[in-house]
Amino acid sequence: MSTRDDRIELLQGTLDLLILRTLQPGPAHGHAIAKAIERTSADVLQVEQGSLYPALHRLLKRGWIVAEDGTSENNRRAKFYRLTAKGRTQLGIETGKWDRLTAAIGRILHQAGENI
Amino acid sequence: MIRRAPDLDDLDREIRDHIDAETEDNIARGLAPDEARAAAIRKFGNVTRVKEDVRGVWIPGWMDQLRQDTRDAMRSVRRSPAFSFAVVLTLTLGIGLTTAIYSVVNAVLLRPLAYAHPDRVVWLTTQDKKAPPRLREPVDAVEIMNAIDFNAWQTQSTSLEHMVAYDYVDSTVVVGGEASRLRIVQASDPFWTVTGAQPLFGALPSSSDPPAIVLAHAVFREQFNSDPSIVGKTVTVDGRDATIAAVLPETFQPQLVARPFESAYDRVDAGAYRMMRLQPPPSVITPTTQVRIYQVFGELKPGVTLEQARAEITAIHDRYQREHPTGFGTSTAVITPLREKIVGPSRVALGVLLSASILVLLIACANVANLLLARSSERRKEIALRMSVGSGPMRVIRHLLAESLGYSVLGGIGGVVFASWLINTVVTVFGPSVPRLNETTLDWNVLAVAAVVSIATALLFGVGPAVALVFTNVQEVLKEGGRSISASRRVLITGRIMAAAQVALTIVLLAGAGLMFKSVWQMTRYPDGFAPNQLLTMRIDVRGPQYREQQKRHDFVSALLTKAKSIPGVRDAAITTGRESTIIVLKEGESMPPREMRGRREAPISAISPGFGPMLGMSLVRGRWLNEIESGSVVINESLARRDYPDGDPIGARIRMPWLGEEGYATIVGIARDLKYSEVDKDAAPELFFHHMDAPIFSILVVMRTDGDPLTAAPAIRKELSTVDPTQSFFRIRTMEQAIAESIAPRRFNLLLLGTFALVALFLAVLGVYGVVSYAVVERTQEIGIRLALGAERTRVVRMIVSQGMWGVVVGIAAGLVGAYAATRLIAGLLYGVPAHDAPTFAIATLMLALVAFIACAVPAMRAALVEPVVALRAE
Repeated sequence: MSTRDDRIELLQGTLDLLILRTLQPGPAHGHAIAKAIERTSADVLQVEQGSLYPALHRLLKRGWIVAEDGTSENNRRAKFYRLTAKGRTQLGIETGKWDRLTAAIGRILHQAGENI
Repeated sequence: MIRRAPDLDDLDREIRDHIDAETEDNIARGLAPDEARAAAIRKFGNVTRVKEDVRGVWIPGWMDQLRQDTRDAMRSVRRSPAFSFAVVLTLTLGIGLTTAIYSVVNAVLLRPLAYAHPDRVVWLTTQDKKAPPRLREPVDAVEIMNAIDFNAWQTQSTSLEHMVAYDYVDSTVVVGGEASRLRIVQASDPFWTVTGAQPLFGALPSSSDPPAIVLAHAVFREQFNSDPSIVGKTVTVDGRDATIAAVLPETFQPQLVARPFESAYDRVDAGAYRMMRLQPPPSVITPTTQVRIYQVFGELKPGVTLEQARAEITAIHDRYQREHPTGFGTSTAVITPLREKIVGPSRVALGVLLSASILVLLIACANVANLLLARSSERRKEIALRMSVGSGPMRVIRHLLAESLGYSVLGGIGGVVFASWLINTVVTVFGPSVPRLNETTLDWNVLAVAAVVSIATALLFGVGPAVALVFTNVQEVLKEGGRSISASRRVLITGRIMAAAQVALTIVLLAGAGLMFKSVWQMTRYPDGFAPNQLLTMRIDVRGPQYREQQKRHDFVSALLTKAKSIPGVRDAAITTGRESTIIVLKEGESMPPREMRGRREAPISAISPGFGPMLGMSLVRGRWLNEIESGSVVINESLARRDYPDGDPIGARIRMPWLGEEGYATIVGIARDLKYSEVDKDAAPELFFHHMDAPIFSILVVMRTDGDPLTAAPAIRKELSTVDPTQSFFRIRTMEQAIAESIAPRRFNLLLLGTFALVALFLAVLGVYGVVSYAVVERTQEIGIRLALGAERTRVVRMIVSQGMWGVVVGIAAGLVGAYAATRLIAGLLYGVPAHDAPTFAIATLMLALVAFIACAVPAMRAALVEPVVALRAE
């Protein structure tokens, strides 16, 4: 309802999609997910790493991912997040939506650019 | 799908690990450890907020908002303490009173009886066919079940699973040389089955066992110190040995119907039980055959309806009467649910109380509505302001909702506390004299209903007006300075209607309570010379094999009387049998009237010692009292003289003494003035006084005038009297005033409750009137200021405000009087010595309400008149 809520919603959708995509190859723990997003986006996305955790819990709540105890690369106990079947389907849907959205926006921007 | 929140404790560890890992990465990139950690923390962001956000994912938003709303509501409550107090107090009174009363009604009337199958237990009896159905004299409506009918029904009926005959007797029980009086219920065999009794100790006897008694728990506790070893011991009951076979648990409290002639409120408070073997009825029956009379209840077979059983029993009874004419005349079989029989007499009174408590709840709701309405109008500006700075309409409504709920919750808590207190008080004061009252506990169901009604009101009137406001134009409200003429007028009119309704309902309650008060007052207005508070009374039943002969009983009573008079501290003593038995008054030469005429010729007799009348302050109209030693004389009272000797002088006339046979007559030697020394809630009734040596005596009341306080002297006097015969026990030791008060306890109980209702209603109505007038004054501060500035006199302003407020009150009173006129007719049966439409009572109720309502109007009006014109004008 307030403007703060709107911003969170915008951020939420994007970050959620990125997390799902990152988990597609296999389970990962929180820090690894953060690093993967930064690395693959070539540090373009400047996200507070902390905001990863509310996003992870949103996904947990929806049942798109599950948390499992495991051992990290440096032999520490850590929580690993794994994509569920439902999450995998959702990733497909969300990716499709994102593609259509960016394509549409891209077309508009491109057209606008020509007119200027 | 709902997923449970995971354990969030390891979130801390996860975040710590995350930051550690990031720090290590940074160190690997070449940063110094301090810097590396600082950078990692910076990159992570605000840890606390992350944690809060994570928690927020799992905790629904409404919960969070609820917390905030509660805080807001509490702030509002604190900000206007007087208003909040008024709302909460109103809710407390409304909820508490209704709940307490309903709990009492529930305990006394509605709760299932303590039987094995309470729904199937029926009361069985016969009624004289000729008895007019609605005649007031109890004698014609007497229900009697004799052994012959009992036997016929029991052998032929197929719809009844069990039939139980019982009776009771106040026996003297001697344990280890000490005598005490115990009411013993004697019942036929299926008694334990139908009542569902389970012994606490011992085994329940049957009628074929040797004589045995079973103790009620109260007696076991109080007289035997809860000592289980008494089971199996032998005691003496009215001179015969019996074994204590068992002890019953505290929960065993079957509601038994008292004998005919005893008051509807009399309890069969059994101290012990014993089994009774039913004798087969005589085979040949003539009008002189002696037949036992019982109280009877039965249990229907499962699946048999009351109607089926009634049809069957009626058929059996009618056929039996045809085949065996007795000469007693015919009677009708009666079969009613036992509960109906027990509850019937108090139904009207408790129904009235329940209605009254509902009226109070309505008044309370009207009051809450009124207060909230007035306030909502005051708050128009605040709400408009909240909305103009960006609060959504839902946010504003939620805020008001939370506020109303806050009041409701506080009121609900107050209601529970108040109800508990009230129940406690009522049980303490009236527990001993109203049946089943001790069983009262707080009824949570009703509490819930009362709470829901009042909370709904609070919500409706707390939020309703705001909802309307929220959807009107905010700018408009702000521009007009928070006062919309049309809206505030609407509120004012609604408020006035509410206040008038409260006044109307209050008048009904005040009139009802007033009539009750006058009834009780009439009953306890003693004539000159009758000082019941100075008289000590003790009852004694003359029991035991040594008193089987009449003469022995007379000797004992005379000895007792002589002893009583000789005790230091006892100024005078007398005895009476009280109106225990009744005769049909026959003048010399008259023969027994036909059965249907007998009721009108009956009168109770009292066997008295000669000093009884003067001691009570009973004066003579004519003639003389009985002499110390005198036989064959009788004193009658004025009522009897009026009834049976309307034309002539009764002195010297002769009346038959039925216990002496056909030729026994007593001569009337005096006429005493009517004095109601017992049964003060009935009209003066005919009565005959015989010398105590001249009439059969079983049970007597010793009346003594003592030096000083009768109750202080009582224990010593009792001890002295016991020396005459230690096997005889005294009971009901109290002043005559206490005895009278106890006999009208149900009425005083009604009065107390109805009176409380009326006072609470009065208080709430006044609060309502005050609220409305105050609100009107606040609304019109500006206008009043202008009037004053233009030179209006202050008295004129007061008069204007008061007259406007009183207008609603007058309308309310008028409506209320009409309502009271209709309602008090319903309580006519509960009144004594005052008509249901007693004009003085109505007038006093009206005046009382008008006076307090006037004060409620005058106070805010005075405040309005003291307004400084300049200040009032500046107030926007």
